[in-house]
Amino acid sequence: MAPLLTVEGLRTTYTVGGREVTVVNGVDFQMERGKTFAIAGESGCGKTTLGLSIAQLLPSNARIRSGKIVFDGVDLLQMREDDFRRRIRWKKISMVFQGSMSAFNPVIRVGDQIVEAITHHETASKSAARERASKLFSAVGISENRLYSYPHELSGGMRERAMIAMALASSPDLVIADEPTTGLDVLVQAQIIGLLRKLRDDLGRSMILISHDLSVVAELADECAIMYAGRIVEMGSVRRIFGNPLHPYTMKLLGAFPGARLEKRITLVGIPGEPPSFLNPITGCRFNPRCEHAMEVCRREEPRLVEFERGHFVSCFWREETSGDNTR
Amino acid sequence: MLEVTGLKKHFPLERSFLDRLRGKKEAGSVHAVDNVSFWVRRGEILGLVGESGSGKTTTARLITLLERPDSGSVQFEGKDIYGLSPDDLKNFRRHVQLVFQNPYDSLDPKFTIFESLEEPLLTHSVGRTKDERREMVHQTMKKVGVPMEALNLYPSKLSGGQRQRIALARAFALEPKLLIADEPVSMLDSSIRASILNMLLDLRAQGATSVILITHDIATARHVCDRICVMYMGEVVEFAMADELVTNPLHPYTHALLSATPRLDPDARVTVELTGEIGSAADPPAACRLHPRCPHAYERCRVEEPVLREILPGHYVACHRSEEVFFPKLTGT
Repeated sequence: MAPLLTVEGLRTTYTVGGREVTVVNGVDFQMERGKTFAIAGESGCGKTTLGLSIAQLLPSNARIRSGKIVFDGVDLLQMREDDFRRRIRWKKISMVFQGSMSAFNPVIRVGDQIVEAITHHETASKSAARERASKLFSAVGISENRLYSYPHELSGGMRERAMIAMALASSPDLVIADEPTTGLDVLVQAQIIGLLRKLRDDLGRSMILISHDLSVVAELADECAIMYAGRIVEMGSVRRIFGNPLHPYTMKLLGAFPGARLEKRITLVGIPGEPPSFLNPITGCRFNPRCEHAMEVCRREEPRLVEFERGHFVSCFWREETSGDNTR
Repeated sequence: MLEVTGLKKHFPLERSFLDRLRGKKEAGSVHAVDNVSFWVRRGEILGLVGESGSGKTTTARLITLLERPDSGSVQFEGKDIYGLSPDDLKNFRRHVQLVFQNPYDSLDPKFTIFESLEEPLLTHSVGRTKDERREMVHQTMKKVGVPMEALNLYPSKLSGGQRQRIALARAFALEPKLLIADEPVSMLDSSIRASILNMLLDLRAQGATSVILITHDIATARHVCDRICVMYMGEVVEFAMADELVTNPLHPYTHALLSATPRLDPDARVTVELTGEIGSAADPPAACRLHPRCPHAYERCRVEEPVLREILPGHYVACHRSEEVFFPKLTGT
């Protein structure tokens, strides 16, 4: 089956203080229908910008400089804006934003906001839309009378559920969820994780999950791309990436995470140095100043993302070289 | 070294205009901290773990004299901190330091890093000459691993991780006996978090500083703390050695917290053991505060408040049914 989404050579830039900085720098990936594809990385790695590029919701100072975003056989970047808005946005691709408090209009009841979203994008009557909204609410586990609540009257978990309900309103083929559980308490987060998993397993939804939290990625995703400084450094199934990480960054990041095994006390190991800034790009491999395996070539050239083993991609000179030694 | 006994703090709610018109006298109050007791040993790291609204930050503010409790006492080295003489108070402030969550707000933007680090030395008259103080600041910078060039910079030029290091350096400059760190890493990237937590461990190892680490993340507490105190709606529900608490939780809330914490394993699954959401602290459930959400609750939990009791050596739990619910699992029968 053809992939649902193919991203090729995507490059997105922002203009900041008269300078153009590249935030997504040549990203390629594919995702299949009915799967959850995670884009993971630390703040400023470009994961949100990548999500916004796909949803065509970039702020005005951002531009897609090159690349293709092929969704269901159509290159979205070749589409006219009003065409995209009419045919794709909300109906085919919808987004759950980071920070559910600011994503809702505070002075309109949540039910009315969902009804408005439906009637704006589809030719549905108000009463049909309201009926659908109440079905959606029960599907995400909020009681229907909450449709009449204002956003501030809902708890953080309920607002997040309402956001998800709204994103599902027109049965989109792809939902992009940007940090859907960040800022929620653990027990509420576990409920939202359960809900998102149900959407995939029971309803067959395709989802892009954007998250800095690797333990949430391990819970929810089938496939995963690790981003660093605007590029994908490693990509593959979550089992491969968590079981046998190949890139030094992924290896280090997993070692810095407290979630691993709670039964045994482990020593967390941080990554030396500071996360990179887009304002001062690094030549060669972006990770080289923080990498214990960095070689001469890493400071000079940028590694490409190559298929290291079937379905497991990595961009690292050290990995390519050491694996050659092992097989010989 | 620090002993907290029966600490209680309720914040009164404002009466609304309508309530005043209706002549309502009391608006009720938020039960932020209720009957909290625990203690900290010399040189240990104690984790105060709980969700938002569990009262962990208020507890820290009470211990550092930023708030006064309604009742209860806090003994620091044998003296009640709410009745300290002015001299003792100054001494207390020197030996108990606080680090906040947000490294962007906790440093004065108009002070260079050097000035920020020198200030506590001046306040407490440590180091007689400028050179002496400069030497001490240099020593601290070395300990926290921030390059000396940063000394002449303003905080805005530093990254979040570096700022949090400076904030910790500032707190450690006076070699306090107790450091209270309120979510010191929750705003930082994961690659930086581990370094900051390890720094806490290193600094502790270098001196006899005790640390209270306040965090919402039981996984972080598990790997960093010696003992963990779990709070729910202003009360301590379980208090034990970190190993013991994580491998053998005896309170349904701790158990639920652990089951809901995502692991790094794609085959592990979080489970939700409690129903609903944390209620309002203005109107907490009677008796056991967890009972409306707890799968094990029975009649007694609705009428009688459980007290914190030592079920196993050094393992304290506030639950009527701990033995019944969790001991069969313990013995394997």
